[in-house]
Amino acid sequence: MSLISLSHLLVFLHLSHLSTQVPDTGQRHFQAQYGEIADPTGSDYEYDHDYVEKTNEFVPTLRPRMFTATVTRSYNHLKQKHYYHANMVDVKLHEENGFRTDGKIGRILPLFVMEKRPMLYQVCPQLIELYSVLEESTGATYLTTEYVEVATRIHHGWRRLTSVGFCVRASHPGVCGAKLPLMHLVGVGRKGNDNFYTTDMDEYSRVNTQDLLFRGTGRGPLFMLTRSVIAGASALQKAATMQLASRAIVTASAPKVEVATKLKVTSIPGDGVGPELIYCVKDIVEGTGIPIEFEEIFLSEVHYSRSSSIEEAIAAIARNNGVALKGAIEESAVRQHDHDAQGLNMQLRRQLDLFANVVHIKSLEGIKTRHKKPLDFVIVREQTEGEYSSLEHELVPGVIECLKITTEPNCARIAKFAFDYATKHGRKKVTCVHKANIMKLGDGLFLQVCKDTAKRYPRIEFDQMIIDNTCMQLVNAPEQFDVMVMPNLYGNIIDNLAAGLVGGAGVVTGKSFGRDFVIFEPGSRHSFQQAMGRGIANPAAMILSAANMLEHLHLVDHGNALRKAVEDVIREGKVRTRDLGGYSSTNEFADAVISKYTI
Amino acid sequence: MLTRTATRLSQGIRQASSDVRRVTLIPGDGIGPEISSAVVKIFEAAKAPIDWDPVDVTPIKGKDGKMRIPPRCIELMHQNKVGLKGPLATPIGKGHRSLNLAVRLEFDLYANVRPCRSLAGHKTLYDNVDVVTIRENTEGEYSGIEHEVSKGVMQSIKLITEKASRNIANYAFEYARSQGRKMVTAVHKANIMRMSDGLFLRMCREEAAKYPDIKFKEAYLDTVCLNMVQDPSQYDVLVMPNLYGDILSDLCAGLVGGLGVTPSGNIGKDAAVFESVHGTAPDIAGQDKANPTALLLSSVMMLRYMKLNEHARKIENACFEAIAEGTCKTGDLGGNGTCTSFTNDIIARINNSD
Repeated sequence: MSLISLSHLLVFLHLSHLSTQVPDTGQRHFQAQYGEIADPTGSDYEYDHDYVEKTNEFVPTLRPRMFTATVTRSYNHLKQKHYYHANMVDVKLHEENGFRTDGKIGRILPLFVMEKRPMLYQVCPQLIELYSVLEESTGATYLTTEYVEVATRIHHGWRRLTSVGFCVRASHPGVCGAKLPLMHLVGVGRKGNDNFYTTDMDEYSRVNTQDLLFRGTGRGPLFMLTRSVIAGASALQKAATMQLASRAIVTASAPKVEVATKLKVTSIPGDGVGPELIYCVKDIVEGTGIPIEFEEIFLSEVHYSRSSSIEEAIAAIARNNGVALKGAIEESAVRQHDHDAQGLNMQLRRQLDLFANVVHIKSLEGIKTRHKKPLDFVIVREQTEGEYSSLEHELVPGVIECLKITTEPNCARIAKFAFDYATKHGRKKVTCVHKANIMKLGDGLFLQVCKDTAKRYPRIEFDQMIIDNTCMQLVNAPEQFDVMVMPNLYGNIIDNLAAGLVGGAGVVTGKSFGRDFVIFEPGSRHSFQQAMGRGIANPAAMILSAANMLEHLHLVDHGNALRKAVEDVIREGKVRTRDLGGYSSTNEFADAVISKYTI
Repeated sequence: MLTRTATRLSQGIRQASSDVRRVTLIPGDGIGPEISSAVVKIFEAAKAPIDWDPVDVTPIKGKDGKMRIPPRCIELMHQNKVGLKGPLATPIGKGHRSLNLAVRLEFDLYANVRPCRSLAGHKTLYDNVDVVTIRENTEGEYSGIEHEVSKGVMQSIKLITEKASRNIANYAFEYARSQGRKMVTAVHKANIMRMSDGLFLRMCREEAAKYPDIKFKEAYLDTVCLNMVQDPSQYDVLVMPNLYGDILSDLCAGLVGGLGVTPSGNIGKDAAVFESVHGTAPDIAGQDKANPTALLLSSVMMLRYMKLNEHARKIENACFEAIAEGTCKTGDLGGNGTCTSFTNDIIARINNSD
């Protein structure tokens, strides 16, 4: 589906390309080389061609930014103005490389990539000023992402200039019912006159946001945009051929969509206190009017006879925006199926290919810690292989071998994820945690791959540390860490260690990322069986995970409000569960959060 | 001025008395020689019946081209059965086995014991730590068996055997009983590695049945990590396979002040090597700045192992007092002293207590 959309887009672009022949003389051709020009924004962006060739897939890195275009400048002697053009031919290259949308993260990759974007700033200085003018004139709220800026600059700046380019960007749609500008599909202007076409997608704000961003595998939006683009394109063609001089605004005809009022996600309560925490989140969602609907899936190893199968769970997650909120599933020591060497958790992670587990360790005000330092670091853990490969066998009675598998593609994937994550979130350092002095081949490979990946991100500092030393450093000087990347087992250890540093398993959030799916869960996964049914567990971790989920679903305002409510409750310190030194119950905490919630 | 012991050291004279135990001393690299001589002096002051046989374990090329420990060292070890080792430099990822590993395998030192106790005068964020980590030392993830199965796919093998697991579990309970400890916790990940850690756990349970006076608990590795940094006082003796032990023992060392104050012992059926686990610190080598506490406490463990409890107590108390009250501590303990001044302080305290 995406290929069709892209080719339609391409058609559109080619049309525009044809219409932008500039017969002016004095054309100078700028070819900026990547890296030679200082990036004015101070961050590093890159598009990984190598990776795409290997697997023919593009893992949605959270901030893939690479722009390639040839910017040309021409001077019109008659009008005595400079014109800037971006050559659209380069887009085709990217389509061949399997460019696809990245709806899961809610971001659509730019359809043309401007590598020399810094150069664009250089050659089109006036565009930068026009940005603020645009904001005022349209009254739109734009996100401050590079895409938007480029788009808006081009959008506005090219009113009088020849056609440049075409940027598609999904902004945060907000909630249905609220009028927020969604997307500004920038059309390509025509050469020489003031025509430019935009498709204003404001009307989509009243439509099902689910449809907009998460249709199935997230290719929906592009498809929808493309249809409107095609509509715009045909209008353009007509206008071009009929030499219309007037400025026309083309509004896309809204496709038939079902209007839903809430976003659906899957919830997997798990075992132990998981159900209580999920129900707590549900209460909060109902009490605060967050437009989320949960579809519950019962997955359990202990209650294996009543548990849904993994396939059902995956299908449920897939149909509900690919997002799930999960409690901890307890691994049962009573094995019912001998061939199921893997537990449910591992099966889920493997089949959804949730290769990256991101745990954000952040000190919360109001929680007393021993070290009293404000911590804020991220642990990126490879989740599908390593020591958890569940490949064990008994060689002879009394001798058991357990295999730890390390593969290069998975190492490359997690390393790239870590660096892209660091880039996106403005982090400065990535530390690789390993034990390559002992496991020279296995962890040696991991370390080597991380080092190689680090070379492609020159602005992010790379460091490596042996796991033993890391544990000691975490206990004594945890503030030195920024982003840490590591294989499976060490990730498990460090996750829990670091969680203990900031207040325990009740306050730390985690996200498991895959290419098409994301699961939000508490960072240190403990089912806390001792507290089951007693209503004493701390729901902060689950609620904050839900806030992360809302942010992922582009209900950013709701997510921020929820997060702020939890932080306020903890900071105030009146309602504290046992792990934070008080005696409040889970429900009391939830009520406090609801009362503090303001959007 | 050469002391009596130093003379003996240089001449290798054996004392005829049968009370005196001979101990192989491996000074090590970097700060090793300084701290070893500090320990030797302290032992002399405490009149401990120990005679030292210093050896150099720098590997030499054997006939087959492989690097080996010099045969003299092995000879001495087999003779003396007890060793004290300073820090050795281990090259990372060079292909040949690390020396520590070689020593352990040669003498089948299957248990690594690391008692981590908060020091009275050395304040850290954790004041109430009194944990002993007992770690299986020969197999597990550190078997060193790794292959490249195909291009870009590496396989590391973790080996768990019934025999080794039983040995370590047995040792853990024996240690707990002999040291008067109340509880042994087995740390594992049997929820994920069902067969291997499951076997380890089963052996621990079997041994636990034989020691009804000692409480036995099982805990997941991640739970232990989580709880250890929040409240270390809930753990007493921890027994675990190799990798977890490595990480957890370093974690516990970090809680009490780092590797510079943590003793460690590798115990086998009939031999034992006690060592300091910190690095060789080449940047401060030879400057009299080194802190001999780790090696000293390891030697105290050695005395206890050899049942010389009285001398052990004397030296240990002097050491703790010197750290708690003294002003002659080395820089890493927060004092202004040097290695020599610290050593002399301890010697003075030993002499005073007599």
